[in-house]
Amino acid sequence: MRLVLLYSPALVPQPHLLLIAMAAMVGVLLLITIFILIYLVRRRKHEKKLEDWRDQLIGTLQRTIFFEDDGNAPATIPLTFKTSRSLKHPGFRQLLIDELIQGKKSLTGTAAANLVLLFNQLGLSRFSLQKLNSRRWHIKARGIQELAVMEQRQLVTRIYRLTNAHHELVRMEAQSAIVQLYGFEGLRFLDIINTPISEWQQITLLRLLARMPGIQPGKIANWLSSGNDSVRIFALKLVAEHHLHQLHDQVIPCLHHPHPDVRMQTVRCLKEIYTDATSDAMIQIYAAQNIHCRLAILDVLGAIGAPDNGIFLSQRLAEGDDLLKLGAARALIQMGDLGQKHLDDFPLSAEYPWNEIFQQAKTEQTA
Amino acid sequence: MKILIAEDEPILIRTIEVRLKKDGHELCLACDGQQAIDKIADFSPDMIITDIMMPYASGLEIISYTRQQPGKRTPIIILSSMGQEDVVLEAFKLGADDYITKPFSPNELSVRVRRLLAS
Amino acid sequence: MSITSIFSAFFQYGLWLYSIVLLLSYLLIAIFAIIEIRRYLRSASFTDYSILASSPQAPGISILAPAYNEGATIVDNVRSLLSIHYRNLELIVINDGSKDDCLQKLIDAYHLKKIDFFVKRSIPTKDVRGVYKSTNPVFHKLIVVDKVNGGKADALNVGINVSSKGYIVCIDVDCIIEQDALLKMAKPFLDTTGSRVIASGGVVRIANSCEIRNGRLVKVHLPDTFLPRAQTLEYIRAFLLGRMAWSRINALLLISGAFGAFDKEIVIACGGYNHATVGEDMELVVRMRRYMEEKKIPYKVTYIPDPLCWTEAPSSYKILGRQRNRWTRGTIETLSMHKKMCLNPNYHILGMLSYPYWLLFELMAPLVEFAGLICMLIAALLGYIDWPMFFSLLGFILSFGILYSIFAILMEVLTYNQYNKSSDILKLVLTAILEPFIFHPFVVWSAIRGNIDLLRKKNSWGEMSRQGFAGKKTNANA
Repeated sequence: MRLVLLYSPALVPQPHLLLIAMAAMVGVLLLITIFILIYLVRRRKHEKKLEDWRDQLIGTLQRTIFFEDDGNAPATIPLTFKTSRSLKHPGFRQLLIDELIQGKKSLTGTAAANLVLLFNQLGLSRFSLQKLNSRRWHIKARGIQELAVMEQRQLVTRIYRLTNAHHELVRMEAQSAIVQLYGFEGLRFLDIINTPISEWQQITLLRLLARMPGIQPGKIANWLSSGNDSVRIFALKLVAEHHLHQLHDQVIPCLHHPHPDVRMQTVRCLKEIYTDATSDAMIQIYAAQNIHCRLAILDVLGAIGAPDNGIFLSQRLAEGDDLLKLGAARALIQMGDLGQKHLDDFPLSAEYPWNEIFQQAKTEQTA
Repeated sequence: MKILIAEDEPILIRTIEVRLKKDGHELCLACDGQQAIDKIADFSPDMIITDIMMPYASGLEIISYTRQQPGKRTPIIILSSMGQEDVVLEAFKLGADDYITKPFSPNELSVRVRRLLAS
Repeated sequence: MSITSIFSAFFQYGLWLYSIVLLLSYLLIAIFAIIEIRRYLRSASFTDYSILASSPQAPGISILAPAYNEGATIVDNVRSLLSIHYRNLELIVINDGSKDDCLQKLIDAYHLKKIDFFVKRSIPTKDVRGVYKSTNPVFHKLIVVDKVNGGKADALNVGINVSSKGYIVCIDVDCIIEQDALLKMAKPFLDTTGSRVIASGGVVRIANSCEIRNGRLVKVHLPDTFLPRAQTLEYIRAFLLGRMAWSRINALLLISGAFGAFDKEIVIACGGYNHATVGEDMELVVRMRRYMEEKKIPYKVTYIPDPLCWTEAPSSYKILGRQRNRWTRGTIETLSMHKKMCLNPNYHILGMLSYPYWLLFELMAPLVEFAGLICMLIAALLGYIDWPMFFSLLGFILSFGILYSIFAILMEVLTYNQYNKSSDILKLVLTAILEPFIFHPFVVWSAIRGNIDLLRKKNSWGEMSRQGFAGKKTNANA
């Protein structure tokens, strides 16, 4: 805090006014300090209570996780009287929901199904649903997450409405929730979305889809020609992640897309689904790309390892940028003896920087 | 059998503990990598179940450390949310015997433990 | 009008205006900080960062950690950094020509071997003597670069040249970084659409008196002694209030050299760190921002308020003085290098707000304050103003300052609550009261000396000796 002093009889308030202001500030200062101390005491009490509740819930959660339905009556997970009574408390309920969600994210099979069973048995979905009505966006988003993780498909209509919500994070959570509940089918919103999907959101969706069956290559093919660049990029990632070789020919045109990020992602995608035709397509566009894309192309050519690429790659050793030289050398090394021959035949192989570059590429290969 | 479990998520460590105790195993729990390494010498487990991402030392370090110890070869199961091919391969290269990705089923874990101990 | 009356009018009205603007700016900073922190905490409350930890789509990050004579703690520090939760990571430790056994300790502890490595000189640097990697696959993320001594900026530039990832995180090697720090730092680069995030800063917290085990923070304690405690308070004000507010309006000029993430492509395009200044961290951010403005590319510089990085603060006045002296020289040098931007509408908020604010209220404030205080004292002694006026003005300003600090403590308690004992809060309140009388004058004096030293062309860091994380260290076997 800077101390700045000044004086002007016309401008500066009289000392007594300054003293009043000072007294007011000191008063506020004391109030804030007292507030902080009271807050800390209450917070500690609250944390202690949470700890006690957590200890109380350990038994309930373990009984739930290892619950075995005897098949004779509708499955009901037994609860202690204390737990049933504590459910009246909103804080306890929320803690239980949090623990159920944490468990559900980490477990599968009967254990996970039992956690959902308990969630339904106690009617906790209505509390998560209430959150959807909140004005505060983060509460809404939390509610969406809870319902999705706990597989509340019967409430999908309510969640689906929020895929058009005003707040970006609520929209994203709703999109993720639909995917979580319906897998690949839930990606329908990609047909119409006109806002960009952030990389974070793409990562989230890819992770959700990783373990889900029902990939539809036909739909992905449509998204590969979407007007929304981020949808295209996402589609390319899906193709790569799920190794959809059958979409190779639909992916190739993306190499000519005007946006460099799309082209870059296309190159990365082709590394996972390359065919005999891939090398030529890459070599064709190489000259028009920025350095990052060129490096990616060299990487893919190295992975393909086709002998026909040897001449192209050895020409790249004369590139201006040393990283491209290194990329080309790595790709040639991966070709085996033929690639090695190209390196040995390169006229400047004994000179700097080629000598160091080639040596590094060789060492990496043998490591 | 004596099993060391290295896992920093409370609900999981408890779940695994309950399930494996039910199978009659004696358990030792560690909630971070360094604790796990310290307990390997003290506890001499017959098997280690470890996460990869943990405080202080990763599960991969635990594998590497265990494989450097003289004497019997302790079976190691990795239990991790990192299911990517390169991570799995790295774990096996270092000497892991099995790899289970999260989310996982406690019953499946129990079966894998039994199978590995039997072999 | 006579010269005296012009001077008097300038002095009176100019200082008055300066004060009003400054106090109002503090209020605005407080308001913007509240809005931004609230937004961040709400967003973080339902974000699952672990998704990024295991995702193959996560962007590659290189941690760059220059090391000079860190032999005492380097093994533990590196161990701690290697346990950071992030998949696509490389840790590059740059041994900047240390005179101690720093490199040998690393070689022994991590089974390092010199490898064939082509270092592309994207940025000109001093010579690299060797690049080392571990023969143990467990430590495959570690790269150690040995180079000729050239200073922190040069070491970081070498790290940039060696790095193979798209983002760099520049840290001080003896800082303690939280395990999920990179997950949180990476997110802004991924969830922003419409503009490119070129840099992201993190909050630096004071680790003095905290319990440290194997290079990791186990328990937070308020520093035992006054000087680090005063800096704790200062950091809370600066990071939790100041930087969050500036980040809110995308006008942040400074990311701490102890902990910051950068888009490597932009860093290289700008030419890397500048060794012509001792404030290389600030200068880089300003240059990166300027570059984006000149290229007319929409961009952002973001800030994460979570306590992700812990560092040892100077605990002696001598070392503190050197630090603040250096910070002042760095600020002057940076602002001088980029004076073209001042009040230049082509640079938008950077030129019209950030730069002038930094010039007037960060750089010049110690000078204005010092001069103002001396003049007022003289005026009072000579009878131009009466003592009640003098003291009531002084009291008003002091009260505002202390109130602002208490407000910062309140923000800290309501958000991260690192110091949750009532006794700690009372100690912090007492520190806030004593600060204007003990700590602040010293800092102002150091800043003035920084100005003088710069005029005298002094351009070194000075020796920043550390005593290690003094305080409650725990035995690993306890």
